[in-house]
Amino acid sequence: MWPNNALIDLFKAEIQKAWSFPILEIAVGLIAFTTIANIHVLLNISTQTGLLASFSILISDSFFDSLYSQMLFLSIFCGVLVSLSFARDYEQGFMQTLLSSPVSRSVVFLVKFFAVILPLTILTWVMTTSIVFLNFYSGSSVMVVIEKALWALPVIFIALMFCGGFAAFISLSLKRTIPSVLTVVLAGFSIWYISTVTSDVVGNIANYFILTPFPVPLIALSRVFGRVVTPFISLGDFEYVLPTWVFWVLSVFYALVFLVPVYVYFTRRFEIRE
Amino acid sequence: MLFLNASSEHVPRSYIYTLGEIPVNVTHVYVVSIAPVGPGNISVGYFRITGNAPGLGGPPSELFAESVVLPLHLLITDPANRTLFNADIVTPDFFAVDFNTRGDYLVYLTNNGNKSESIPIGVQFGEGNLQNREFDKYMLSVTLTLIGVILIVVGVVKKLVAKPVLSC
Repeated sequence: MWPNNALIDLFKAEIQKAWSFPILEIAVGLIAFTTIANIHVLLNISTQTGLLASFSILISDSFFDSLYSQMLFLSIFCGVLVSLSFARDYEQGFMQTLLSSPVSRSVVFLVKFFAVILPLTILTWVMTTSIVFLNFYSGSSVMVVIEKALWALPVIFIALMFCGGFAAFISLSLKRTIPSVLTVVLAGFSIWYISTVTSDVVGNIANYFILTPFPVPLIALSRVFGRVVTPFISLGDFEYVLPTWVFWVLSVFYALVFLVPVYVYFTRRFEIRE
Repeated sequence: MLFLNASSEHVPRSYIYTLGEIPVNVTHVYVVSIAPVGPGNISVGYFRITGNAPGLGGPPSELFAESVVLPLHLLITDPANRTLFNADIVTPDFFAVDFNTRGDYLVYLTNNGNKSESIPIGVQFGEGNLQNREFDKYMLSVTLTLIGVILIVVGVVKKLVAKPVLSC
């Protein structure tokens, strides 16, 4: 089914609303800053036969370190934008207008959700890939950068889907802008903080913190990159026992765990109260 | 932001890489991929270096090194395939190179000795040498920062000039 004009107009309007000044500028600035701050200096010695493998490691490390640094900011930023999109529109009465239009509830929900997720994913991916490419530019590095970038794209998308789904759940539950935004910010920090708690502090239970939503997509990406050591190594060796597919399945699970129930609720049970 | 990053980005002081043994009369090629980071040394035959390599400036300190002694033929070319050094040497030794181009510097080693050996290759830079930063990134940062400053000043001036006109 091809999207009609109303769908495209609604999507454009939602993007303009969600990414109005200075939101886009702040996002661009912070993504660029975190990427540049984590790019490794180009300095590598290898043999001619081992050059691609060496570059692969350097570029993988730069991609991973950049995304690891960006993930906290991106998750909170995404959560705040989705909260604003749902809760603010509910408070200001725009939700009522949208739901009484000829567009279906399903389309309204998906448009509002992906008007935040898709641009943020593309913006992060394009900026990170461009900066890594410019830093490591040489004849040998182009295909390596493209290969790593193609794996980074779904990871960014899946990670932001979790943040957006969680934020939609909070904002449709609380239906108030400020409490929703504050709750999302606090929850985002808490989820990140859990992944930094080591076994020295809480004992062996810290081993299982690598299965929380923050580290899971990053570990999945590190496995694809062939990176053995991740920042989560301080949480214990449990990470190395689990096969790679576990982290990918968990990533997709987290992406849908809030999104699907909230979508069903919005399309079937959600009511506007005066 | 970019100026801050590029101005603080300093290349690591020493980086050494060792491959397996080079058989007698065989040539191996090492690739040094590097950004334009200014003057430094390429070392041949040093497994570990502590202290300032000769000719790099910085505070004087006693050079401590683990090395291997072997006669070699050494050829170094820059990313534009210009020859920087081409002669017979005896390791260990340092060779001054101005890394002024981003790309791959090729180091060809031919073992002229009578036994197979591992030959480490390294790059060294002076401690605290302000020249040893990624020059192209630094210039881009300066340019973008200046453009940003100009835009901000123009915006502020326009706002200040427009105000009295609107209030009349």
